[in-house]
Amino acid sequence: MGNKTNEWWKGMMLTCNDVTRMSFDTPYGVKLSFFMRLKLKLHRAVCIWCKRYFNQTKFLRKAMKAHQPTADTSLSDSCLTNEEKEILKKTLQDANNSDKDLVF
Amino acid sequence: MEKSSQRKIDPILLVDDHGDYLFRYALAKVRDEDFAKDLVQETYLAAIKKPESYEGRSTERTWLTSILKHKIADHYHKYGREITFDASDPDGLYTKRYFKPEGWIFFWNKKFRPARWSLSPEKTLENKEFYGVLEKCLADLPDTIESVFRFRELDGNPSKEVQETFNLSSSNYWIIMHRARLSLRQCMEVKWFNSEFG
Repeated sequence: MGNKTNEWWKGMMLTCNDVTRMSFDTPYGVKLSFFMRLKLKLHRAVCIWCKRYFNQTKFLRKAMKAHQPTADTSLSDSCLTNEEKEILKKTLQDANNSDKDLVF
Repeated sequence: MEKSSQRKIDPILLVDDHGDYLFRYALAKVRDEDFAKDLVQETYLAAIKKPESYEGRSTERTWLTSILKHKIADHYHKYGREITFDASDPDGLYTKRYFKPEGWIFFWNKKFRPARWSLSPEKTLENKEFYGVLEKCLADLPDTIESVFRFRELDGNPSKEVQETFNLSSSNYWIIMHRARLSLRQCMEVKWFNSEFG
């Protein structure tokens, strides 16, 4: 009898590893069943760490969406040097001219 | 108005006007200066070879950026094929570090249990330094994982697109995202939310 209860719980309860893996997006073509989503919720309701993990990661995802690395301050000083620009311009002009040679 | 096909494209002006912008854009995605420079050059070369692709409806910058985006996607695609997550981490061993078997359940390892954050998350969104720390924690991820994760979470691409771009199987996708989220959360907790300087 005790063994049976144990088996039932094993089927019901997911491990923290699975819960953290499946709590956010799923790979393409993989859909979690209603029962699985219920099990995830159930686990997070009783496991304080998975609950925290869920809320904190949810917040971080929101923060990453708000974050614009192109406007990132650590990058705003990054520029091509004048020398690099000159080389680039020359490469482009050469490429442009060689194209024209082909046409004419 | 000139027809787009006749529009003269001056490489010198294109470089002066948009060079730095494109470079920063590429750098934000690939995080490697030399490689970002190569991408910018390839973008310009493609642009002057096919000036007719400029439709005049968008700005030059939008046009160049879209070429650059394609170049980056090409790179990811090649890159994805080279990623050998399978060999380096066959069963997601890295993520299992975070959990230890306790009886039949995989329980949080004591070292990695999510702690209560002492800083309020909501207030932190307006703090510029926060994003600096976020960048640092992202940079701490292995390069390959960082690229995939950025493509998913910062660029907001759906999982289908991420998997196609990087050529990832479902299980690899799951392992990568799981690993990235676990590491990032842990890193942000230590370096920002519960750090003494935060």
